[in-house]
Amino acid sequence: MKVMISIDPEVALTAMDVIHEMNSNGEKLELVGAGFGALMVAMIATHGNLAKARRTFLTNRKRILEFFRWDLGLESLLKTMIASLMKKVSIVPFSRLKETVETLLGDRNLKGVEVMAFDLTRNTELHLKLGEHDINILCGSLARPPLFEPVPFEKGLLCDLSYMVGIPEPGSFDLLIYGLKKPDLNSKNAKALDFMEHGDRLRTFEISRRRLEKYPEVVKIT
Amino acid sequence: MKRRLGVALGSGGARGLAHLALLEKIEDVGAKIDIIAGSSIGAVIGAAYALEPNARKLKRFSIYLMTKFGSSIRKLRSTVEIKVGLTNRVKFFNRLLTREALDASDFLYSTISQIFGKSRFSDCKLKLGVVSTNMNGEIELIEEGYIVDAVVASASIPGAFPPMRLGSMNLMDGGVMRVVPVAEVRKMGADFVVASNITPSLRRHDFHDIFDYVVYLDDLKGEILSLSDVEEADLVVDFTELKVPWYRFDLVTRILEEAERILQNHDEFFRAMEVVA
Repeated sequence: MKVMISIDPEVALTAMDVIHEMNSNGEKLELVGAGFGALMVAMIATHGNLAKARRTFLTNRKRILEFFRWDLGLESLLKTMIASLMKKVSIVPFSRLKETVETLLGDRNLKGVEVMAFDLTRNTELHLKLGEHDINILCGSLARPPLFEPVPFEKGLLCDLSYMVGIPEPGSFDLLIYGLKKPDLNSKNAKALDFMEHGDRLRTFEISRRRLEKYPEVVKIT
Repeated sequence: MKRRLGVALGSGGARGLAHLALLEKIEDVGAKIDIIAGSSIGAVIGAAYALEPNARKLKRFSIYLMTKFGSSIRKLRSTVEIKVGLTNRVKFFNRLLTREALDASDFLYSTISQIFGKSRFSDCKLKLGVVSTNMNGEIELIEEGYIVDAVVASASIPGAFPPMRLGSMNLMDGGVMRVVPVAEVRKMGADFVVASNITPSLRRHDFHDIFDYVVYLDDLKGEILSLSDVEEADLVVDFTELKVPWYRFDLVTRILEEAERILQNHDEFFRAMEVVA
């Protein structure tokens, strides 16, 4: 069974539990990840089994959530403004993303790991089967703006697919494990940037909503 | 039985002036529009046409308006355009973080109210739908009440203009979630839907900074949504070659000329209109 995983980091443990449950029921799963789901799939593959990946995630949970978090809080905003004034396209340099990802992987051999990323120079989604050393591509599939910069790939640039479209077109997937938050904004006292951000998130949400209906089966994690 | 012709006018700011060229062409081939709906600028043009279905007159009026509001348009541009110099960028960020909207001049309401005054949907000569995005993530189709309220809500680009409260709804730009309202025109009873898509097809590698990058990605999302929207249309007129920023209303003449050129070579349009007319 071909399973697509598109989740926020906050629900990664629950997603791992879903996979564990399905494995226990004898389902043979082929996992493909988008956004944080890509990291999860890579962790499971490089640790050799789900239990080890789960332990690594649990041990590093606080650090992971902190590292991948971007919101409209003061700290994130200040970092964004400073980076933008310095004419950068991201807050966190690529080298730090790569280092962090490396510490979370097991043997670092990514051969056969399947991820989906978004090529923003061609406005298209890519289903990629990684080679042993393709950590840059894995980072590309995790490159969520404005935290991380896009990652060059062939003649294009990769970014986080879940940021762009939420979930990929159903294609050949039999099941979707979906754990992305619905955008929510308390408009009282909201400022221009809040509205801008909310509009952008609603677009991703709408694209996901249209695609979600086309999946044969969906496990929603709220 | 006569087929009910519906036209769905997409969002995209100043590029939406191209819709006028399409409406004119539809009139020229002798077809009559029964239903019209729009998102954002599409709502402005659609509503004006529904009140007075005369595209030539509307084109002249638009050129007049763009001249009349010349200084407001220039001011709007200086407010919303991402700047290059450090001081201007700091000012831009300050506005983003401290105000409800980048534009504090009431540009949107004052301009649109001068077009529609106290007109209501019931004054329209053809069936009109205005599409807006509810802050709670629902697409709203407005078909009654004062036109100005619905159109302002539909054109309230998040961040640039403040959202609009209408009844219990907190509304912003229709193009956020429904770039080309084909589904709504169909829902309103059209048998044949012409979609006018003005979403540009942008492809870039380089970005000035985070904002430039994120705004580009948001535009790509708009393109994805627009392509999904027009899938259900019977005829799609694509103005994707128009690469004018949304706030450049001052380029009205250029936009109209380019739109006319695109339509001139649109064989599919003429074939489809022959059948409809």
